[in-house]
Amino acid sequence: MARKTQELPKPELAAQPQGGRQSRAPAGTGAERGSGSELQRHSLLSFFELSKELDYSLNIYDFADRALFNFMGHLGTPHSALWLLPPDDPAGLVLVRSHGLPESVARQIGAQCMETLVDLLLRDRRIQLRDDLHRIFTADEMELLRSRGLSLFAPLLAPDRLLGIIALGTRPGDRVDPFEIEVLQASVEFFAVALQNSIFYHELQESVRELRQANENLQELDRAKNEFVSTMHHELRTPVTVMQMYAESLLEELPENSSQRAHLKVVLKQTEKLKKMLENLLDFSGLSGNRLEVHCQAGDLGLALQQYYDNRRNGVAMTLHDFRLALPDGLPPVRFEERRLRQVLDILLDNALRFTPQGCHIVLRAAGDDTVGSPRVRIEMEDDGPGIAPDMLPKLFTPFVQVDGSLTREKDGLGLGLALAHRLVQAMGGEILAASEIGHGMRLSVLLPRA
Amino acid sequence: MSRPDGSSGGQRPVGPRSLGGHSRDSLPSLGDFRITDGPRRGSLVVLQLTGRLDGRAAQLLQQRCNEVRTQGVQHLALELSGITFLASSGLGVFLAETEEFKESGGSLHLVAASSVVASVVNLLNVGRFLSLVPSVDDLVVKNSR
Repeated sequence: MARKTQELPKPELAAQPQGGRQSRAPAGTGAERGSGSELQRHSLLSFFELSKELDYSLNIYDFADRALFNFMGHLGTPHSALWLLPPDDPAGLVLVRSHGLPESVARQIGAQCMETLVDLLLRDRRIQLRDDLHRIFTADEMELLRSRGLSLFAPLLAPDRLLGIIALGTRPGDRVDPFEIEVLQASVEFFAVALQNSIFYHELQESVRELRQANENLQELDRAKNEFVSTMHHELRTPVTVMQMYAESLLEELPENSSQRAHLKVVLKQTEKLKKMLENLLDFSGLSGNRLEVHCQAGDLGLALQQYYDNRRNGVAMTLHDFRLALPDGLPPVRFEERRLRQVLDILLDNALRFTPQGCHIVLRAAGDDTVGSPRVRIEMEDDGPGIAPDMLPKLFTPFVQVDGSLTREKDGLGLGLALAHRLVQAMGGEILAASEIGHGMRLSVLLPRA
Repeated sequence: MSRPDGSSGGQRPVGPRSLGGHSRDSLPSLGDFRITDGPRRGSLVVLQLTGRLDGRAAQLLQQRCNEVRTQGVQHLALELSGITFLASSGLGVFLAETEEFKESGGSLHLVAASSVVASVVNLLNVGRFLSLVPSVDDLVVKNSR
């Protein structure tokens, strides 16, 4: 049944000048297809439309879609793909979007064919047609590109480097009009500049966010310091008080003018001094309630997650990770503190970003969870990165532990993040769980009580 | 969950707000482009498009098609008689989504293409990549034969 409607005979278009054109063999030249000037007009219109469609605040994935759809409609092809070269790894192309061919095939083409094109595109700085590239591609690579309808490759150039590569199809059987290529070349150059501007814009946004977060972390550190001082104060004051009490009672029992009495007075004076110092220490730290304070109230979790997602999505796209949100309708109200939840989500998301390679997918989702006694709501951060062995999972929430404990481990950081997330979630009356398998990504779940 | 724009159903609201990545206030205007649910015909879902199908509208349309596909709908018809302008991006989405629906074992049909649509389709000779039908009735009748 699936294919049935596809088998329908195609009716003619009402506005089509002569019937049957669609079923005819592809025209050999542009002139047979429509007048050359109409095609040129269409090319120029596509370029003008593109200039209106690119908005610097769009993220990389939206940017890619806007441009690819424009280029596809410009040339009349259902096939396109866009790869970017991360600045820190100029050798590895990351697939950002592909249309009209499966993602896995587009990745394969990126690794197999596009990487060989990088040098040529950097040198020539112009669109290359597949059929002129016999010297570069093997027969197998040519066949792969041909079978997937990709026949034209355009460099995305910044002044100092290659940002990425766009591959497009062309109308099979039709000669590519040099004018169309010329306009497309201008479109692609324009797109590259806009993309570079957007990258700068988002880098700035990210820096501001990171600074804010660093500031919050410092506050957290300050709180931890205060807690430490407070604990030490309590621990030290008790023995000092006991020492003082015994020294005082001993003093009462000793005869007047004994030399021991003078020595004991010195001990007492020093004990008093020690107590004073401890009090000062406490005053100096300005301690009052220094426990991890959380103020939960019933709130709309869906809205909070949507806002969080809107806020982080563009920044995440900068790292070439595809970040998505999946929210069901009708999430029940949950008890949480928004600032603390944001802190937890930041930790989970940053964890996913740090431990998955570029091009991976990260999904934030929420759902009701009635499997355990009290009704709760489950928030998940799931990635399709390398994952970790299940026996390592219990260590995840221990402070100062990274699962890769070797001296040569790739990722820096103290390993405090997930431990803090664990404490925050517990303070909100919830629970945090991890599930993973090597090669199958990682899922961190936060369960919060319903209101 | 109550949606700020009052819509319901589906995983995400349909409308400008579902263009993730913008802060809500900075979202560019969509002009007069609208997507409305047409009457469903058996397994065929119909969406009526009206107004200018430019780049922003194209992205909205693509997201809507994607939602429809992820909800398990196999056959989608886009009713185009109310389209007053078709930018390249709009045509790009028609081409891309036709492939996507084919890939997932379904089909996408363009119904009652207005002359602005037809002229671009003819000019670029892309009719062979698309399923163009005069009316939804045609599609349903022919399909049930």
